[in-house]
Amino acid sequence: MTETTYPDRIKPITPSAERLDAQRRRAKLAHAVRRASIYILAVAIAIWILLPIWLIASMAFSTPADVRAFPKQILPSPFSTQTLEFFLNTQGIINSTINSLVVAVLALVISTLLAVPAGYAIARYLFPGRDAIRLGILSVRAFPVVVLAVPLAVVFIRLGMFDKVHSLAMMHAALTLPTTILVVASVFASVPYELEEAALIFGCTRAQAFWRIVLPLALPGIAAAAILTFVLSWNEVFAAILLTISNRTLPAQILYTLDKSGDPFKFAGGFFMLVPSLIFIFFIRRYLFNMWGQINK
Amino acid sequence: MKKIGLTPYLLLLPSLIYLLLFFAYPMVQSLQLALRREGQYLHLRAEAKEEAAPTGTVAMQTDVTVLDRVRGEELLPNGRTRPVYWFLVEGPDTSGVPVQGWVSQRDVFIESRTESTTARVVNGEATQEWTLDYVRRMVTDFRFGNALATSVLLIVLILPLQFILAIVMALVLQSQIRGSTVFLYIYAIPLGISDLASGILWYSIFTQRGFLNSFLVSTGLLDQPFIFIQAGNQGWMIAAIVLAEVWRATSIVMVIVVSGLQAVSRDVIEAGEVFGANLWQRLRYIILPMLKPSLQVALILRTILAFQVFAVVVAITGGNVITVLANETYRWYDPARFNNPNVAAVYAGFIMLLSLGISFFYLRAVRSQEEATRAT
Amino acid sequence: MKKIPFLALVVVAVLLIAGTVIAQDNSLTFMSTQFNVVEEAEKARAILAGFEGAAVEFVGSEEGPLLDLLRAEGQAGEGTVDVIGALHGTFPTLVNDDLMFDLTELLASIEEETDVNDAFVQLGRMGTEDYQYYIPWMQATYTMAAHKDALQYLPEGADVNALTWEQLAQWAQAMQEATGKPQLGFPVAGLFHRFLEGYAFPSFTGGMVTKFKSPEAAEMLRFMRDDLWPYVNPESINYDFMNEPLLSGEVLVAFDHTARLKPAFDERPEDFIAFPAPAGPAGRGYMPVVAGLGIPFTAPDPDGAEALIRFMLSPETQGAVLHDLGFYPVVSGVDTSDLPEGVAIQAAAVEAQANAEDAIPSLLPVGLGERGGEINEIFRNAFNRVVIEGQDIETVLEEEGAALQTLMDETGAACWAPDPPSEGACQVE
Repeated sequence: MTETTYPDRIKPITPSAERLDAQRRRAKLAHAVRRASIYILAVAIAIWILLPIWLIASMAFSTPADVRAFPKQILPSPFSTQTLEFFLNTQGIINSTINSLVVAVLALVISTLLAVPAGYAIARYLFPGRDAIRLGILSVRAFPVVVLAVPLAVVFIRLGMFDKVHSLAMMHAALTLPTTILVVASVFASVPYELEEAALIFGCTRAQAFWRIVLPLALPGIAAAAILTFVLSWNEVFAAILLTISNRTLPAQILYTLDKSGDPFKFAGGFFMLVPSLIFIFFIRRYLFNMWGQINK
Repeated sequence: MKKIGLTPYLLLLPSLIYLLLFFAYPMVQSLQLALRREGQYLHLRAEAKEEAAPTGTVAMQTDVTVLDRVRGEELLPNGRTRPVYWFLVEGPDTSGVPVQGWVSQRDVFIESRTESTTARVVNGEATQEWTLDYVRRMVTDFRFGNALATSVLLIVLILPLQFILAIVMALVLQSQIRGSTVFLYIYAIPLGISDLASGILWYSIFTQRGFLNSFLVSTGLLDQPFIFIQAGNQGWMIAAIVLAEVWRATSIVMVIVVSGLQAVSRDVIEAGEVFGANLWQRLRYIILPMLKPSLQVALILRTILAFQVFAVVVAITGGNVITVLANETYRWYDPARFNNPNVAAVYAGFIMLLSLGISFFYLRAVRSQEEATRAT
Repeated sequence: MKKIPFLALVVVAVLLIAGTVIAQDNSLTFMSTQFNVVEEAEKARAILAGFEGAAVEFVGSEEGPLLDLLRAEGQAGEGTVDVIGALHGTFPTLVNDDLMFDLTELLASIEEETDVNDAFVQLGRMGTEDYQYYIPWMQATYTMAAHKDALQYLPEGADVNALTWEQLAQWAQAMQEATGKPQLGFPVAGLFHRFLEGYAFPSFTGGMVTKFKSPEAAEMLRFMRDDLWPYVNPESINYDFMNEPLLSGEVLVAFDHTARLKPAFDERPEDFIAFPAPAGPAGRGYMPVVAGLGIPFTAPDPDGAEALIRFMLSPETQGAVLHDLGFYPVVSGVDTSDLPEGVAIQAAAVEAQANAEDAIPSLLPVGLGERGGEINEIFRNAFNRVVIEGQDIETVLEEEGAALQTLMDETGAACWAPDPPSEGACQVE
């Protein structure tokens, strides 16, 4: 703590001033203690989140023998990619990873293409039934995927759409669509309408104004919403395991082989599945609150 | 805001149709699966031909006497032939009256196509009828009660912990500490982690030779690894699931709470500070009441999602001793186990009713509370 | 005008040449639900390379896709798959859809040279008398395995190769008392239902379905609950592959499918022994698992398919499968002198178990069709309710027995070994 020094002539002379100084110092100390405890709390929570990820990562980068060893080490030494290689070389893993990527990208495209016009309508137009539609869209989010997946599997079998990557992507798009619409609406709402108006005045058509002014401004937010769709689809297990057999996605494949595989496989799989989260959440972290902020209202 | 026209409806139309297709239609199907049975009946034919006139109808598993047979042959593209048998059979029809007619080999089980004098009906045409059998099957299944109890117990244990932790996380992030974007990133990571991955993570900690036992044994707190995951000690399994779920699903609550906090004007909070309210008072009288709408949304969302979680239970406990409703749904659906989508549909419907019921209850509880405060 | 016929001629010529080239490329497609794992598939391909009749394309597949593909090909009337290799339990669906050739004649001609196991041949007829849906291909089973350190705790006078359930319980107790923790493990999250169907019930009751709620069955459950389970590693409920806890040292003694114990024997053959499952009052129940080879009606080349099956049944090929892949022969005359150490240890135990004087072979459920999984759940329920949840034995057996009877009635399945053959649906006594 830096001591404030006063030149002699303005040195406080009254006793009350001295007390004031002590009081201020105490307050400063209390403040420092409070700040420190907040930091400690912040770090403690960060450790709580990161520790399990660290542990599983250290398993994924140990040799299979070390994975089975006891006591387990929390540092991967010797560092080895054997366990991960074994996991990736297991039949079906590469395929299901590709399936997962295809499903997630398709779901993202479908859901975004549908959500952009819908979100724009909700953000920019006041029309009868707007609130009812908003509420309807939100309440759809409440239907458990469990309820949808079982009958959809039966319908898909009947229509010859069962066990197809695009069928699952359509299902995932449906699951994320309500959220995406509301998020996109909030993104559009945050683009000032004045800009659009100005464009109209300068002779743009409405479509041009949307295309040249609104969309570029909203694009980062829409991209974040799209990434969220991607992550949800990448993680979704229940619909995936019901709607596919030979074209399983990664989580479905891992769940399916869970009782047919050993710890090295499980741990490597657990680590492999969470890597996209580490990457994507980093990119969309700034948009998270925008997205969910609107849903509250 | 723009003028009302047809435009907003046209913009919304694709999404609404899509949602209707993927939500409303399956709901109707689900109801059918749960409450309608596909009975099967076999029509006997006057001649040994598919299109011949029916002579009578027999139920599945009826034993019939074989009176005559004809053997036809079908030429296959690979140059071989396949035998196609028709049998003239006699047996009781659906009302017990004996009938005679021809059936194809496909529709009966017969020990010897050339010799046997009896056969059993195994195939036929589907008809639909209403039934409560599947509902009865779910309710009488001995795992139903366990699954329901465990699902509810998990929600009761997980949600309060989650909300406390989420509010603490949100307050930490809002306290303008340095590096708060880094903390935000770290706190948000579990948002993108599936319940399966989280289950595997926590399995690696709680398994007999996992990290927790490694820590306890190498620090000398225990001589021998303690077996956390065991049938005789379900408390530890529940604890492991609770930790895994709190670890994974608190982020989403945290995000909702932070968005809510951002809406709470800083002036109001600072005013509280100026008037000497301590942290607890500020929390109790200013922050929490203003967060109420966000918390309510988070509560409903988390409850609904919590009923759908099952991969974490399977990954940590194997899903046999500890089970939840969603796991039972999958167990009944699974072709390798019950292979019975009908009972699975009943389970799914039950989960939905439960979710809706609880959401409704939350909304009512909050409203009546508000009315009570207004009255006083 | 003259150019057109010329062009047509060229096209026809090209087509003809292409046609003959394709026809000459007489490769066979062998689709299998076994050997799906990459390394296993490679070994299987190496063995198939020894087939001289044609090039064989080995396609690994899960059961579901294989069934879907064959059904689709059956509907189209033309197909791509010549031979399928699958577990017994995969065939009922194929039989139900009437997709498979009758292989009676092929089997007869194979048996002129090699003797094929009669019980498995019978299984391949799927309950009929004169229609051979598949020809047995190879077998596996379930045995016990133990770390050599465990042998010192064996009860006095007990022969590890002829254990009784009582002795196993005493052994487990002795191990727990000596080492301070339970050392016996079962794959409760894995194939445990086979343990109940093929080992526990038959060795106490002599039957599987018919004696399901007999007093002997009640006695078996009481034994499991009171005498055995207290000394079983409680984490068993989460075990699926017993080679894992054996290798990591969590348990010293375990029961599982031979393929699921194999990695332990491959990795450390000097540390582990394999031995037959214990015997109960009625005998030594054990469950052989059989995989079969069949030819779908839609096979492009049935003659080639028959030649391939003949090749797969030859003692040399059967020996190679045992040597490289650890699945056991279904024909006699296989040379077992030159096996890898781990395989030899397991082979000896499998041999001893099947040839034990008191052996009761208990077959996989037959005739349940699409509901084949339900019987497993019933057996598991009975065990879970009594042993893990502590419910009343008689009530549980009565209730689960009723569920079992409903299943038998609704599918019309006749009894299978070890239960005596029945007219009509199998009856729980």
